[in-house]
Amino acid sequence: MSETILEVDNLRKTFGGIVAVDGATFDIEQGSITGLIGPNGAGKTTTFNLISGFYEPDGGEVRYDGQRLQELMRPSRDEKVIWGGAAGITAGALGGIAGLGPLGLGAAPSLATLAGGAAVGSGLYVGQEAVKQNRESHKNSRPYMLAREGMVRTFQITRELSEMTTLENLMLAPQGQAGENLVNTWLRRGKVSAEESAIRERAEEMLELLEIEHIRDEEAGNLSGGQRKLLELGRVLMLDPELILLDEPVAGVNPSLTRKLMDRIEVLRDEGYTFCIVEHDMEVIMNLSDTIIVMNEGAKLTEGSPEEIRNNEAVIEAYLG
Amino acid sequence: MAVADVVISFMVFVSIYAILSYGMNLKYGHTGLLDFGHVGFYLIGAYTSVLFVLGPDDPGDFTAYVIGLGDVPFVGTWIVGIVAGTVLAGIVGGLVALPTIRLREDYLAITVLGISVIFQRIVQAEEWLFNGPDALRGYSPPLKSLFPLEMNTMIGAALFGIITLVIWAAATGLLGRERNHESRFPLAGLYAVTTFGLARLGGEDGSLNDAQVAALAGVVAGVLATVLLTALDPILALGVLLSLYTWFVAGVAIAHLYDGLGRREWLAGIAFGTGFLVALLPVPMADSLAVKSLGTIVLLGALVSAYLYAVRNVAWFDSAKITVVGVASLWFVGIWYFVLPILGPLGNGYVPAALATLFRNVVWVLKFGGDVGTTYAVAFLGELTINVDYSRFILAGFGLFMGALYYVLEVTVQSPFGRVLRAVRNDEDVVMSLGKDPFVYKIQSMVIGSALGGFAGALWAMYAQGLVFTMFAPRITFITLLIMFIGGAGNNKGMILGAAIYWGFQQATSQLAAFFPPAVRVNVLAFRFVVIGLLFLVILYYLPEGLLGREEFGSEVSDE
Repeated sequence: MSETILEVDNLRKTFGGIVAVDGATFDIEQGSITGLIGPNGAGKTTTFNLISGFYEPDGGEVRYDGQRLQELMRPSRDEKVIWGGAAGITAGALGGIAGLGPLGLGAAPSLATLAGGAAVGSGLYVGQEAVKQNRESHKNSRPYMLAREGMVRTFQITRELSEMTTLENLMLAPQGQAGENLVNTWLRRGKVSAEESAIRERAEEMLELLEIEHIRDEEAGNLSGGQRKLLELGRVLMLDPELILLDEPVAGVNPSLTRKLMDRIEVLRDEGYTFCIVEHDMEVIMNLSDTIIVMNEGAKLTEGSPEEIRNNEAVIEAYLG
Repeated sequence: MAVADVVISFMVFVSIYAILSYGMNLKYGHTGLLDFGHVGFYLIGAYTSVLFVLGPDDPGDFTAYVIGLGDVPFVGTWIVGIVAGTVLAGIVGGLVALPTIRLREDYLAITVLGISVIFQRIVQAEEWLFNGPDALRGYSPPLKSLFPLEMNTMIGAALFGIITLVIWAAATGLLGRERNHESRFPLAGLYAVTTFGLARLGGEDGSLNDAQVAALAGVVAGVLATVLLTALDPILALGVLLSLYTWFVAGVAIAHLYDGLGRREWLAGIAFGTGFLVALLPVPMADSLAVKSLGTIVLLGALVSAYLYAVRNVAWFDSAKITVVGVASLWFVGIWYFVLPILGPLGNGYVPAALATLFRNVVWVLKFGGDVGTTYAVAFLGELTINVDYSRFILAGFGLFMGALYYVLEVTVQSPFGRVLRAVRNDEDVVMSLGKDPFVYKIQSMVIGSALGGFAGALWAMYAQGLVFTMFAPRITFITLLIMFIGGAGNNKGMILGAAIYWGFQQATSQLAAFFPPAVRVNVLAFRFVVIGLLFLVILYYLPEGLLGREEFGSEVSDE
């Protein structure tokens, strides 16, 4: 077998008195398609939200590529710069005002108190962040950090950017675009526009791949349910991820399109992408999955190949009927 | 005061408020951050910039403020003041955003509204800071002492050259956009001439885009004007040429805007414009107060009813309803600008006086009359004393800022950065799932939007020549919001249109109010706020997208 890309270990999440996920434990192999099934309320979508960092777990651990999610979701450089800078500016301003006003030090020494204040302010931020990260109970929740690492998800109820066109939706996705930085936008326009052309080309290819070129300039809010599903899949693929979490990718998609989507996913799997799919359409799950994980009441009921699952007594009782 | 001067002060207001609204538009229109405290950053920009140009305070003179840097060389200038006000407003905007930005739309709005009121109260209460509740004044706008310009000096010629630069660049830029449309005039050829051949550098395969060509053409025109003025003294000729050029470009643009309009739409527009004029007649004409107010209200009511009736029952009218209002407004403004001022002299039989008035309004670039200036004797018009006053210079400067910031903002919102902002406005979770941190983008949007507010505040401080805390009431924020909703949230061009409509309304009503006796005038002016509130409701209800709607984004790549 190939390597494990995602390890879920004893994951727990409660909402008030309801235990949504209760000790789920499973692994996902690299380059495989894993189906996640179970009756309504079994905790599939909550598990998805936990894995993708949208919820903070109450217990347990997830490892992606051998690294703990909590490590991966530490504050980004930008965030540190903003908070540290703001703390520095605020404390520096207070220091400067204190030097000029109450302390009456005059202009030049006040510059020193200003600098001192700034140092203390940024230092305080860095210090409290370090203390916070070392506390066991502290939970990071920064889903975007996981997407940067190559793990992306789609949403059960499609969440398209409704005021933006299909093409724009796709062009938004690629990581690390130079033009997302204001300095580049203003001063390095040649670079930005060259990159933009490349991204546009890729987006056009993606439209062709998903056979939705005809809705290229349509606002995403006007698309049909099935088209939105395709758009979401395309947007995720534009990211060039390693692990793709699909939450009900074919719900509301017509049979021929479903067939096409499944072929697409299989081809992508063979190219090395890893998929984890929550789906209620048994035909899709059974045909597509290499491994199926069955969840019930917040925990893993069983796991196995489609053939094994189909004949498993417990699964039939709990879910397949 | 000639009508041209009224229009110029109107345009100064429009440019200040357009810049203020750019900031609001970046926050709300593009990023979805509803900032009810925008005026707070306007305040910071205004007061900060003034501290850089004020001399040290003098308690004996009942002025007290924290610091006056006006006497310090290099630091105590408007340029430094404006930059400092803008930067500080941006920084404070970012700091305010940090704790509040996690809040949902309406909570965010209320929180920042509170913060803006805190700023205002601090200015009012802390007497050592900005002179407390008393006005902060005693500074003058930049280069003010040089006006009215003396054309025979180098500096006078150079300043007129700057005015020429801005007007020429603006007109040429507009012409550059119009030149590809069909017209009975050879626009492309004309464009080649007015850009002094620079157009060849632009175009499809050129290295410059239209905006850059227009800016360069403006520079050439400005330098030419300066040289001509120093060598000869053709101020009248230059003024006429410059004014006629702007009128021509405006005419071409309007003709193109209403190109596909049929005859009946034109007639309907003209009819409604004339009807509006007629409806306002009781105000200047009637003697009794009752006829003045009631007559106008009844006539306006009839006009609006006729409009609504036509919208409901006539199909072609319904589809052209906004265009008709546009034509009507243009017709009305045209009559007000060109025809009404000459009716008086014509009625008295003074044809030369009427012609002179018309000439003055057409040649809006120059100011006529006054003691200082060059005097010409012109055939048919009699003697004209020409000078260039400060308001034209201010307008050129502010207009330049408005245009340049528009350009920068367009670059910003059309870029991948702007795309992320719009995505944040649509759905933050999607942005997060795609590996982008909405927080970072919202902070940047707040910083830049607030900095724009601060910049507008500095311009306002320069124009108003005195600051009182009452100028920075939350009302300003809501005026900005109104401007944004009139023009269309998420459309930078709409901010200019919205500001023009709002200040057009203000100008028109204050002119009308002048016909009322002083005791009633106050009430009329106060009543305007009621009307503005109603206008806000009507816009939100019937035109939620604004007049121009959202901008089109990212249809093609531009690679300049």
